[in-house]
Amino acid sequence: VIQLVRPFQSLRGRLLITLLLPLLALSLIFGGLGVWTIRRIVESSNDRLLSGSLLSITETLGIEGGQFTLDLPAAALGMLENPNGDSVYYRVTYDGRQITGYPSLPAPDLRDARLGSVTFRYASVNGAPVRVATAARIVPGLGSPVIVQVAETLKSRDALQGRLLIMFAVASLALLSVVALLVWLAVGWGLRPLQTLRQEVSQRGRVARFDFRPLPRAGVPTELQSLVDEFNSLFVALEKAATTLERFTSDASHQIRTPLTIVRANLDRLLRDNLDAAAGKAVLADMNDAVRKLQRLVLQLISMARAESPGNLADTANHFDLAQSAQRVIQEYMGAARDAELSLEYRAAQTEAIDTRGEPFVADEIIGNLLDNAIRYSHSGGCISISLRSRPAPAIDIEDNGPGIPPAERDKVFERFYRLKNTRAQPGSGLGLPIVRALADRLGATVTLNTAAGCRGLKVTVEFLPPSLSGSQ
Amino acid sequence: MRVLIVEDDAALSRALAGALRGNGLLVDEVEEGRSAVRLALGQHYNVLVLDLGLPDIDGLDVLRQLRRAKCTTPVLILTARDAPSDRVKGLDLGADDYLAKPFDLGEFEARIRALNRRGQGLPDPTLSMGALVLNRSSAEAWVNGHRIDLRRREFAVLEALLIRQGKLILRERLITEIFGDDDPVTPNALEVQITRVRRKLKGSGVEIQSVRNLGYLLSTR
Repeated sequence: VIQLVRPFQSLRGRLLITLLLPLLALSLIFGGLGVWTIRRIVESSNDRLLSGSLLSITETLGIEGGQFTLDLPAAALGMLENPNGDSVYYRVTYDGRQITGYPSLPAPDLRDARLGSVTFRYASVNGAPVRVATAARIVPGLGSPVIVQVAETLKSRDALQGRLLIMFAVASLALLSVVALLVWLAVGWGLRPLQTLRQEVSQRGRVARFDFRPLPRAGVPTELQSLVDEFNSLFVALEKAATTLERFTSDASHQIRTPLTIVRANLDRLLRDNLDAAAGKAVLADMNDAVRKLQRLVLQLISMARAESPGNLADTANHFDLAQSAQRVIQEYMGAARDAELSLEYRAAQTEAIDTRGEPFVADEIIGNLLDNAIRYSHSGGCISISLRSRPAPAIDIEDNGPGIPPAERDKVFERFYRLKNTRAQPGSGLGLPIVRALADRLGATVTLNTAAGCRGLKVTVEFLPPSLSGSQ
Repeated sequence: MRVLIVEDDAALSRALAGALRGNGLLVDEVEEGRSAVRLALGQHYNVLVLDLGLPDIDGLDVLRQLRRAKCTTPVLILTARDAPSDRVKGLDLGADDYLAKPFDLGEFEARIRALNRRGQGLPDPTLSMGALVLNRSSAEAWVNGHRIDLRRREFAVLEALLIRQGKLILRERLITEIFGDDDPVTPNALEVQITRVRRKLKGSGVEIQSVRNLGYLLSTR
């Protein structure tokens, strides 16, 4: 069925096939009935002529002086004359013997010879098909009835029947063609709104920035309105994505170009100006900072892309110990904490394993990013505390004594490159928390921001999935 | 020549200012838009270098405020946004030139020099008077075709006088154009420079006339 339907990808083709096939079948049935009816009509009208001719001959039968008399009126056979040149035969039979007429006409079947009525049958004379009318009459003075037959060849009947059949076929064909034409036109007319829609959409793609305004619903047929609605909601989503991408590109470009400019300008100075040792050192320090910034940004962009790559890791059946994960990461950042003159504090029942569902490397990356942030934003001499718990769900809290994030901006810091208001010279790139959020989403974990206990620092809580599915709600 | 750099990234500001200072320019640096407006309206700058991404107000707002206050100082916009629409917006708001990061330091300096000349209505980098010819791009001067050796400040004095040749330049104005705010300026520092330049101009037919406590004027004898 699929292979049959496949060629009919066009609506016109489909409609034509669904309308024309049944119509064709119907007209074949009607055609059969029509042919049968036409045959009946032609037969009965010609039979009536034949019967008239037969009766007018029969009327003239008589006995005169022991001799049969038959007056063959000119009109009797003349009424059968027609332009098709049909041959007419007659025969009179009495007591099984032919009295007069054409001997080639087959002898009457006695079953046909009924008094007072005419019977018709098909026979053949000299190989040509004929219609024979038979009637019997009691002639006074004779013991048995006299049988009279009149026959004519079928040329005229066939010609009439053929003409009627051709007319019928022409009419059927005309009907089918008209239907096909109407279907063709109706499909074109019905599809015109779709054409308009297509043009509208393609027009919008021609300008530099796609026009995402909703498509007009006015003038759109009811059947297409839901399509237009779907298009419009798609436009809304696309516009949001496009705007996000534009902002991201512009922000990323800014963050990459500025350190690049610093490196280039300072390189030019080193190569060209004869800087003294102190100035040269300062220039190199600036270059060093810029290159570090660039390096971190590039690594974060890669990490962001990886975190946002499709695929949900929350479905994994993998288990890991959150405490071990935290300890691994802490060990990694101990050097950085010491350089920033920060102390680290770890709080958990040391022996207890905190069973958590998910991929441990993702959890490591989440905790690593948070520790990195905490170290960057903390005031030196401060303390970063890392606390773990297994109930109600496996979770980690990381608290610092940095500037914190005002409650009003706690949602926004998860947007890429968002910079806190009223803060200057931030060490971060604005990607740390978005990366954490993206990674957490992949694990089915949640990230919440709060004010650290006892100070205005930041407290980040990440709640992971508990080991069994039943406890996840 | 005095240049104001409005740039929130301290390292970038340092690099650009360092390069310009190396060329003998006087450079002020500021990180915020509002202070930039205050500074630019408070004293004469030959060129303003403006970054668009500032922490307090947008760079384009700084430009708008300056132009509204009838400040005509040529402005070179530095930006990481380099979409044509951004350039058009900046130029339409009254910026004179546009440089997208990252850029070549040499190009940056050349644009500053060009903007300075244009701001003075003198796009030709060559200034001359009598037998004296001075090239502002290469910082060289000739008398009768012979190159004269000028120190950085001496060149700045001669350039300033030559730009307004035949007109009196007030002493205070000349001082701000030649000495930075941080330079230790002794009361007679300007006079010392003038005396040195006068010596090097001998035989050129060009001389520096002075009105004590008022200013100087460059003229041909």
